[in-house]
Amino acid sequence: MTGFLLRRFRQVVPQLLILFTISFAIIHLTPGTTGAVNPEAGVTQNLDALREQLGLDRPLPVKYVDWLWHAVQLDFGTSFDDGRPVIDKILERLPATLLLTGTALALSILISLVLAVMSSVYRNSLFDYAATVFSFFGLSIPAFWAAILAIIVFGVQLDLLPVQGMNSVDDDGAVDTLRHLILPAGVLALEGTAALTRYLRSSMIEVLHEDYVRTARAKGLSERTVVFSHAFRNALVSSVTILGLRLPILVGGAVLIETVFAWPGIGRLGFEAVSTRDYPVVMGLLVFTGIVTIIGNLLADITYSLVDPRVKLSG
Amino acid sequence: MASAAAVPANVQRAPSELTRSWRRFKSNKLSVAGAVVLLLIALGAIVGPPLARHFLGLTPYDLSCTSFAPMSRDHPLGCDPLGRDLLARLLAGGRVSLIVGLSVAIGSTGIGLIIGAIAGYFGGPVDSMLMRFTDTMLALPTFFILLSAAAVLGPSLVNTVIIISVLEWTTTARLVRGEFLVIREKEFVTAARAVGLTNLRIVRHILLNVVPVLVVAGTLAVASGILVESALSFLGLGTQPPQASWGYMLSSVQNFVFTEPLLGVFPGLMIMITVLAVNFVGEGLRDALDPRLVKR
Repeated sequence: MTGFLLRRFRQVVPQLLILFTISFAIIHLTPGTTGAVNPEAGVTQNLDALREQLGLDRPLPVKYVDWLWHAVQLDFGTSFDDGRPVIDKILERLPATLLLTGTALALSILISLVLAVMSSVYRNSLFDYAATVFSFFGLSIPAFWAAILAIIVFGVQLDLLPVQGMNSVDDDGAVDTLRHLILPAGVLALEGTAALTRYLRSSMIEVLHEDYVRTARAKGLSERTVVFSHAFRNALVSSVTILGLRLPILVGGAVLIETVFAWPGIGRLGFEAVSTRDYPVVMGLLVFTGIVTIIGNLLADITYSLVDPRVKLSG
Repeated sequence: MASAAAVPANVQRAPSELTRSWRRFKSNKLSVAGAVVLLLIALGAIVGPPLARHFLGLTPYDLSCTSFAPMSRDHPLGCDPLGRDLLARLLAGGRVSLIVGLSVAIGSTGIGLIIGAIAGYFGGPVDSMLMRFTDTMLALPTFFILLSAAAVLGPSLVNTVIIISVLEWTTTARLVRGEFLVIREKEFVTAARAVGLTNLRIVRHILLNVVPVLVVAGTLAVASGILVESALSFLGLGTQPPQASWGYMLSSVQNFVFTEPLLGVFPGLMIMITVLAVNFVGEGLRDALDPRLVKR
């Protein structure tokens, strides 16, 4: 176990290094002059002064090492936009995103569990068929279009739910936030629900064909016990890793959903920063979300090895 | 059904692998339906724009229609906020989606094939290094990188394809590597080594056995390519105006949810139907070409 943990931890270091390097490379190895979008940049002197002030005139390796040194301490510099430290901007937006993605993740886990167990137990039934069709739709519908449809149907036509932001102007209570949360979280959960349902269903079906399930049935246990305490728990184990892999997809989805619903999270911050070429914020967010997903995967793997003692990490 | 297909002339001959795959594919009704729908969409994208121009006088750039004009005889689907015909734009947008989907499939499976083949064929430290890299790519918030790269490189069709390809090869690489690891232990590879073939020749022999995996991975890449392109274009970082694309057509819809709720129905529907059809075809291909492949 200790060996496994050590090996797993050792993987994180090169992963982080690759992450840092990619984030740096995207911004610095691509054409385009930083500062060119600055309104005052029409004057060459101003442009040069600005670039010197921002440290953009130094050689690339120097910039890289310097940036890396600060980035590992989560110091991503200050925003081009308002001069505030990038990490502050990220951290103040983080709770909103955590609320949104957390709710979406919980929703998709819950719904997909129900759907997957039902369709694997009643395999090839009408329900199974409907669940399969649903998951194909969930995987194929563009999230932003689903968001627009949700806004039109629930926000405009039925006028049931708020569609913009996290709180109403005159109300910042928890109930109000919850009402604002329903649509974005529901849409964000769609794709995850579809993917998880398909994955869980096939691992449930696999497990239901195992010898020990037949044994459990043979010794006269009720179908309920067989499904829930024997099959389900084992099927669940294999899906822990898939949860870790879903994190980056969730973050990506959050960019779109937060933009459409004007949800004040880091996804929207990212889109704003990309649009205004606020490079420190972009790089900071890349690294920050990357670290979160790498740690998420690490936790998923550790959980996996805890719940399934057979697991041995190769390589 | 299977016996009816055999003709007397080759009764003894077992059906070829390709024939059997085709039969397996045909037996999946959803996949066949998906293939038909895809063919129709492709047809619409290829011959649709010239036909619309020739017979209805519709082009995707002509601003002569009234803004938000409802469906009419001259404009079968109505017009967009700038007074451009929606049908013509829908057909032109189909070209963009299909071109991006196919290019991404070729690009990403190409990269994935090279990396997966090198890792799987050589194994050892090369393998673990490349796979560590692949795992890291999987852990990255890809969509966000896409956005940043698109903004920095400048949004365009070509850049969109390149960026998506560079970020979407991981699944292919892992699948190809897995296949290589199994196949390189087979007798024919040992035999090829024994007669002194070069690594490159041996890899070429193995490659033929990887084709099914590539086809399936490529199909799924078409689906994700179309979805990602539409999302990028929706955010204004993909296909650039005035070029029509389904994602870009949806970007203006947001401003008219109160007045013109039906504006975004068709582009979104087209994206969903296309991706759905591709996914169904991919599912059928997977079952048909390689029943062993793990389901997603």
